[in-house]
This record gives sequence, structure tokens and C-alpha cells, in this order.
Amino acid sequence: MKSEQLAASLVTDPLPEAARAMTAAAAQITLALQESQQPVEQLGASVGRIIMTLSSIRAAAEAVNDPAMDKQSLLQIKGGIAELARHAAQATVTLQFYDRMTQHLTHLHDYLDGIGELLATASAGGGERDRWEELRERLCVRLISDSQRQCLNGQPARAQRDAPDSIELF
Amino acid sequence: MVGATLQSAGYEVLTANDGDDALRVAQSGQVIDLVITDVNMPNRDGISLVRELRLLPQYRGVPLLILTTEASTERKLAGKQAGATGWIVKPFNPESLLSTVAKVLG
Repeated sequence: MKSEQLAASLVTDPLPEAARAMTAAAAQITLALQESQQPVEQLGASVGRIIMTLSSIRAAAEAVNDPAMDKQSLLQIKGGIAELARHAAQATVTLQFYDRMTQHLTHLHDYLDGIGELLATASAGGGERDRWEELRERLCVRLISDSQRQCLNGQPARAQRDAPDSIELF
Repeated sequence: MVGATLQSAGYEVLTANDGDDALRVAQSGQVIDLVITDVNMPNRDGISLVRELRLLPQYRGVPLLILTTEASTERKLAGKQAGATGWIVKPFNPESLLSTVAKVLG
């Protein structure tokens, strides 16, 4: 095989690029699953605490009719309501993992769609290297956290929860 | 959750199912003091919604907040150029959201 033919064959052979892309996609799916695990556990714990707090408020409310218990029960109810508000706020924050995971997987879905298109048209030859890079770059821009981008770059990435309160006023 | 958070603080909330629906609600003739939109929505994305709203005379001075999972600098810049007032990355904390809303409503 002449050197020009060999070079053309390397450029148009989609298999190594496809293998790399599939490995990157699989790593992203693993990360998406890891990132959703902790919030789901926290959400479950918040719901559990809400149930327990409601139960103690109910018990305190039942004791309100007892004159000797009134003051203590009212304090208990107030404390329970404050506790409920705290757990509800925590649940509101953790439930948003679902939006993040949906976004992450949607970007990944588009990436895999792009891989499919590339593989289907690879035989047309020429320019595939750029198209692989374009596809990867687009995913990199659309990913929503540094840990996801590290994962795409083949670096070890740990599930990360961005701290809430990232607010920027222009 | 955004609606419930705002309603719990006494705000009246109108909701829309997607970007086009939001534009319809915005032009329904009701007085709207603040718009909070996601970026990724069916039919019309949030940045396009902000751009369209800013073209309407009644929305030139209305705070338009973007609440999204997207945190990239490029997307934020696109939102800013479209006319957004601010960019909030999910997960949001209810108290912080309420204090931001109070701040932009002045």
C-alpha cells in the first residue's frame, strides 16, 4: 500500500474514533448515574424527616386541648413547622438533580446521535477527523460541570454537586 | 418548585408549558412584574424568549431571570446579550431565589 493510500485509510477509518467516542459516552453515563445517587438518597432522607416531623406536629396538636400541655405543645408545633420548612427547602434543592441529570443525558443523547450519523456517512470519505472533533467539542461546551468535562477528557472524575446559590445579576 | 416557592412568599404566579406558551402568556395583557425562564424548553428556548420579550415595549424594564442547569460562560454571555437581568444555576436554594427576586423587583 502506498503511503498516500495508507494515510487516506487512517483518516477515513472511523473505528478508532468510534471506539473512543463510545468509551467517553459510557463514562458520561456512569458519571450521570453517580451524580444522581447522592441527591436521591438525600431526597429520601428529607422526605423521611418531613414524615417524622409531621407526626410529631400531629401529636403536639392533639395535646393542645389539654390545658396543662398548651404552652409546651404550641412551642413544639412552632418548632416542628420550622423544621418542616427546613426539610422542604432541602428537598427543593436536592430534587433539582433530576433537571441536571435530564440535561446531561439529553446532551449525551445528541452526542450518540451524532456518532451514529458519522458512522453511517463515514464511507463518503474525507474530513471525518474534523467532524469527530466538532462532535466532541460541542458536547464539551454543553456539559454542565467541570467534573463532566474532566470525564470527557479521560480524566478521573468524581460525582460532583454544584453548590446552590450560583446567582449572577448582570 | 419555582412556582411553589414564589407562591409561598405571597407572589402571584403565572406558568407556561414551553417557550411559545410563555410568549403567549406574556402578551395576554396581564401585568407581569418579573419573568423567570429556563433555557432548554420545547418550541422556543429561554434565550430566544428573553430576546423576543425585550423587543416588546412593556417588557423593556421588566426583570427577566434565567434559571437553568447551564453554567457555561458562553451561554451566560448569550443570555446577557439577549437582555436577561440575571442567571441562576440550578440547584437553586429557595431562600436565595426569593431574595434575588426581591432584589430585582426593587
